[in-house]
Amino acid sequence: MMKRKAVMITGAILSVFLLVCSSYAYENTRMGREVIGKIDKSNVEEYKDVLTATQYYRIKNWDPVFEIVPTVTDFKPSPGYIAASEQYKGTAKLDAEGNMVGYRAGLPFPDIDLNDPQAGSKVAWNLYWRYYGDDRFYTSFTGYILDRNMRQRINRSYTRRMNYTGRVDLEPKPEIPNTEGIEYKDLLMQRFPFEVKGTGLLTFRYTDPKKDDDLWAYVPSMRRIVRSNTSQRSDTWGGTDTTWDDVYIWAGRNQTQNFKLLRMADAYHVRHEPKEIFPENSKNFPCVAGGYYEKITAYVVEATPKDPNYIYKKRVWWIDPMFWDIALCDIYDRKDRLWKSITMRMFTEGDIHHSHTMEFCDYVNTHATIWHSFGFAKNQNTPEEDYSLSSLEQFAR
Amino acid sequence: MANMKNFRARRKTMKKVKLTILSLFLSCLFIIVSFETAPCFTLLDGKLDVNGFLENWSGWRLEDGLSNLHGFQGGSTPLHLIGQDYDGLKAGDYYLSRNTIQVELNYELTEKLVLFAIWRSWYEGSLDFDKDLEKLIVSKERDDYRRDNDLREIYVDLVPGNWHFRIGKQQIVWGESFGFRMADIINPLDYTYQFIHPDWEDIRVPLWMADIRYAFPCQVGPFSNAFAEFVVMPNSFDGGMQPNNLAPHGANWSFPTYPQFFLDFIDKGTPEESLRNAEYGLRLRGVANGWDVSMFAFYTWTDTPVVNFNKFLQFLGGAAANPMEYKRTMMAGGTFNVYEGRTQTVFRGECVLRYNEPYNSLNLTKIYRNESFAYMLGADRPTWIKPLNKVHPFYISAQLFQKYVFGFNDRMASGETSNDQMQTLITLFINNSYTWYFLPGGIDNVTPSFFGMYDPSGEGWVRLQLNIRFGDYWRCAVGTNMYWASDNSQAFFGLVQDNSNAYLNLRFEF
Repeated sequence: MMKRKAVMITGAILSVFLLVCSSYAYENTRMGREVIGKIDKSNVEEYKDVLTATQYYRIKNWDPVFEIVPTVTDFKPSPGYIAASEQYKGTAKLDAEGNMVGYRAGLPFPDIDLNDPQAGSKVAWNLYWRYYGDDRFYTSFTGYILDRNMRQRINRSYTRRMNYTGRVDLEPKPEIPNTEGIEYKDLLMQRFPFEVKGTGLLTFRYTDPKKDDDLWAYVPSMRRIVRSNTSQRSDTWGGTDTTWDDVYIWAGRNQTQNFKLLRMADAYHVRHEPKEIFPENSKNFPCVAGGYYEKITAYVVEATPKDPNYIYKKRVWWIDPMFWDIALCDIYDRKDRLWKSITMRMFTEGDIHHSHTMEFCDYVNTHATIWHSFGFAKNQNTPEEDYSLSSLEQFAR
Repeated sequence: MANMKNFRARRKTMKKVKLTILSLFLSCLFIIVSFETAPCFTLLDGKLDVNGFLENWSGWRLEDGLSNLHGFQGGSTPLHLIGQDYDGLKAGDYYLSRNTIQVELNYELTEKLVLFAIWRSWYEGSLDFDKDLEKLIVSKERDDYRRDNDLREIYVDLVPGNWHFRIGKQQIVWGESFGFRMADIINPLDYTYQFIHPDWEDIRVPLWMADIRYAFPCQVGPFSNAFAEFVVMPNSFDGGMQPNNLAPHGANWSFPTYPQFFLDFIDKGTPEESLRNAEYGLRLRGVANGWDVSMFAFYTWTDTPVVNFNKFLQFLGGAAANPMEYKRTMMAGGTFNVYEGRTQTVFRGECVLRYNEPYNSLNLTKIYRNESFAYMLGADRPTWIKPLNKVHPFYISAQLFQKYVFGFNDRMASGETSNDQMQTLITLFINNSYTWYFLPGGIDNVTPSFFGMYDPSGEGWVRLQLNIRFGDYWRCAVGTNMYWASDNSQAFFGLVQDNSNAYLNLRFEF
C-alpha cells in the first residue's frame, strides 16, 4: 500500500517535471531548433558590428528580440540550375560599364574575388540571376500597411512571373525563342481593397539593357487596358512603402545602378521560418517584433542609382551567398539619412526558398509595409498566353 | 370608426418604430462588422467574392440658372409649368443627393468559367428635400428620376484554349481617350444625374452583347500579343437598341431646349427589337516593336437621334408620328499607344472615320448625312516637381481632339463642340498623392487633381477634386466643376454652362 502510494506520488512528480521540461524545451526549440542566444536591448552594443544600422537602431530603441538559432546551410538550387552553372561557367563577362554579356543560364559568377573592382557588380548579377525557378507564382500576397499610430490598411494581390531567358528546369532551355527579345514577363493582379480590385499589371522586361520595360495596366474603373509609364521606378505603388524597384527587394535593372562591394561581413538573418508563421508586430513601432535569426557571412554591396532624380541616394545590401538573395537592405535618402530598411524572412525547403515575409520600414516617416506571402510555387509551366494583353483583361476582371 | 383610425395610426407608428430600430441595428452591425471582419465576403471555398459599395453623392449649384437655360424661362420652360408660379434652379440648390448601393459578385465556377454580376439600387433624395426641384420635373418622370433598381451587368466568361467568350449584359471599351469619347463607341451613356462626371464605368449603359475574342497563339507578322475581337449586340430583346439616357426636362442636367415630349420621342423612337437591328463590330489588336496598335470597325446606330421635320409637322398636326430617328452609321478607325524612353512619355492616339453620320440643320428642317474624321493625340508623363512633392512625381496627361466634318455648311448643327467644320478640344489632367498623417488610411491617402477641358471657340470646363481615403473601406471626394461657353449653340457645354457646382461623394466599400 505504502509502496503503491510512493510510486504514484513519484509518478506524479515526474510527470509534472517532464511537463515543465517539455514546455521549456518547446519554447527553446520552436520549430525543432534550439535557441542558442539572443540579442535585445540589454546586449545590443556587443553585437553592433554584426547588425545592420537599422537592426541596431530598432533593438536599441524599440522592442525587437532576435533569438539566435544555429546556422543551417542546406539550400541547393535545382539540378538544372547547378548543371547550367557548370555548363556556362566563364561565358558571362562584364563590360566596362558593368553590363553583363554572354550570359546564358545558371549562376553567372560563381567565384568572386574580393579584390576585383567589379566584384560588387558580379555579386549584383548573381543576385539578379539567382535560382527561383523558371516561373514563379505567389498565390496570395498581402501587404499590411501600418502608419505611425499602428493603424493598419491592407493590400492584397497575387503575382506570377515567367522567364524567357536563363531557363534551367523547363523546356525550352536556356531560352524561349522570341523575336522581341523578352527577358521575362510579369503579371500582378490586385484583389483588395475595392478601389484597386481587378487592377492588373503586365510587365515585359527585355534583354536589351537600353530598352525600357513595357507596362500595361487594366484599370477597372476605365474598363480597359492603359499603357503605363515605366520611367519612375523609384515611385511607390498602391499606397505602400514599396517602390517598383523594391519589389522582391530588387526588381530593377542592374544597369541603372553602380555597385561597390564594401566587404564580406557577418550578419543575422531569418532563413528557415515556416511559411505559415505570421510574424508578430512590434508594439512600439510599425515593424516586425523579432524572430529566429541565423548568423551568416554576407556580401555587403552598396548600390547607388545613376539617375539623379532617383528617390534613394543609396541602398546597402547584405547578400546571402547560400541563396544569392538579399537578406537585408538599408536605404539612405538624398540627405544621407537612414531612411528605410527592407528585411526578408525566408522559408527554405529543398530547392525552394522564398521570402514569405518582406518588411519595408520607413524610419523617417514612421510607417511600414509588411508583405506576407501565403503561397509560393515554381515551375508550374504556365502557358505563354497567360502573359498577354488578352489574358490581362480576362484575369483582371 | 375612430377606434379603427387610431388603431391603424398606432400600427403605422409601431411599424415605423420597428423599421427605425431595425435600420439602426443593421447600421450598427454593419459598422461593427465592417471594422472587424474580412474586407469582402468570400464564400464557397474562395470561389465566390462579394464586394461592393454604399455611396452618397451630393451636389450643390454654384450659380443661378440662366433664364433661357436652367432658369427655365422662355423657350426652356417645361410645358407643365407654363402659366404656373415656380422658381428655376438657383445657386445653393441641393440638386443631387444620390444614394447608391452596389453589390458585385464574382463566381469562379471553374478556372475557365466565371460568372460576374453587378446589382445596383439607387435613390435620388433631392426631390424630397426641395419640393421646388420636384415641381420642375413633370410628375410622370419623377419616379424614374427618383429611384431605380436593376441587375446592371451579368455575364459569363468562358475561356476554352485561345478563345475568350464574354456573353451577357456588359460594357466594352475601345479607345485610348480619357474624359471625352471617340473610339469608346459601343455603350451609350447615362447623362441624367451628374452629366459626364462620374467614373464612366458607372454611367455607361451596359448592353446585352457577345464579346468573342481569339488570341493568336503565335506572332502574326510583326505583331505579338495579337488578338481578334468580334462584338455583337443582337438588339432583339430587353428593349433592343439603347440610346444615351438624358435627364427629364426640368432636372438639373436636362438640356433645356429639349422639351419633354422630345425626350419621350427619343425613348420611344428606338429601332424595334429585332436581329435585323443588331449592331456588330470587329477589332484587331497587336504589339509590334513596342507599338500597341489596333484597328476596328463598328456598324451601329447613333446614340442620339436626329429630328425628321416632316414627321414633326405630322405630329403637330395631330398624327401619331415620332419625329426622332436613329440612323445607321459605320465607324472605322484605329488606336495606338507607345512608351518613348528618351522623353519618358506614353504617347497614345486614336482616330475614327464615320460614314453617313447624320446631322440636323440648325432649324431642324433637314437631315444631312456626311462623313467625318476625328482624331485624338495624347501624352502622359510623370514629372517631378520636387518643391511641391518630394516623394511622388506629378502625373500629367494632355490630349488634343479634333474633328473634321466633310461637306460642312453653316446651316448644320454638327453636334459636337462648336458648330464649325473643324472642332478642337484640348484637355489637361494633373494629379499627385500626399499623406496626411492625422487621418487613418496610411500612406498616400490624399489625392488632389485638376482636370481642364478647353474648346478654343470659347467654351470649357474645369474640375478641381480632392480624394481622401480613410482606411480600407471609406473614401471621400470633394470638388467643384466650373463651365463656361460663349453661347448655347455650343453643343457640348453650351447647354450646361450655368451648371457649375460643388459636390461631395462619400463611399463605403466592402
